Amino acid sequence: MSNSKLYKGSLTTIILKLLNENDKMYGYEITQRVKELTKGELKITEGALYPALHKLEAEGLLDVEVAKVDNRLRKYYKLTETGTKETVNKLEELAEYIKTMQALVNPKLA
Amino acid sequence: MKLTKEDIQFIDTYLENSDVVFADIRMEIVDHVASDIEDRMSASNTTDFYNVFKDYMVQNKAQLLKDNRQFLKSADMKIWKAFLKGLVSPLTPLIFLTSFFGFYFLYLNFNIETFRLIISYVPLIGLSGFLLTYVVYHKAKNLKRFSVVERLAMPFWVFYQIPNIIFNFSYQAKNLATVLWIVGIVSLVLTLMLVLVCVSIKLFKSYEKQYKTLA
Repeated sequence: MSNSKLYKGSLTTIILKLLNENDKMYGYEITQRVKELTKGELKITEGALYPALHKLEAEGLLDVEVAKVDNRLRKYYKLTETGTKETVNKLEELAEYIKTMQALVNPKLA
Repeated sequence: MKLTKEDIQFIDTYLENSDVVFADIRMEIVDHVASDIEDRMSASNTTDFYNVFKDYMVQNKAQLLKDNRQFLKSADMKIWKAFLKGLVSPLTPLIFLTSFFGFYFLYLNFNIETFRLIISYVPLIGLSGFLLTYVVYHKAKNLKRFSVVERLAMPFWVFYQIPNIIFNFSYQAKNLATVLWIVGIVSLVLTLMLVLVCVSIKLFKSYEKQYKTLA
């Protein structure tokens, strides 16, 4: 992630959230979707993305599917049942974190 | 703008020659690179693949090779997690107890030299299981080089070495307590190796299923 180390801890939640909204996604698609949603503010590098995806896969939160697309093989990631449950938890955690940070940084808005 | 089969093959060969040797890792990087190049070609409205590819690699090659090392770390993590999952199977204590009483029975019924000879072969049992699985999947089933599959050799090597150390201690197997310790550790190593063989077979099968189009 090029912009800030602040985003680093939220990468897993970002991936889970995107996969929760889409049936399945591949690596490059995730990077482009994040870039598009944040209007280029957040750029996820493959060096950060793929290890995170593989970690989630190893933890059983993601399932993979390999398909032949445009003359090459593409690895799609999708949420498992546990992954869907974990997404809810992670989003709640993130919302709580944002609320806490808001209270610290800008108490008037909290 | 979509890349041709030849363009994809070019990227694949380039990465393979740049030490991205495992097919599963390369496959994901190839798709990433190809998707990026396609977007760049569409954005600049060009059909000159080689120039766009060259520019891409000038900007990203160092990062891609760094990613390759990161991929290998992920592969190691995947193995250890699968192994830990395999360990909690109800079969694990059963294998351990069977080995333990089996080795103890051998100790009671054979002289110390024969007993030592038998436990010296224990690591080979686990290693042979892995090698057999590897040969079957690589040669008979023509499976390509996959990261997780080849990195499995490392934990086998670790488990292979432990009994060799124990084997040296077996010279001191003069009282029952020492014998029980030796039998316990050798049984544990054998159990770990057999669990790893089961995990290997599972991983080989999942790769075979997942990448059947690549094989």
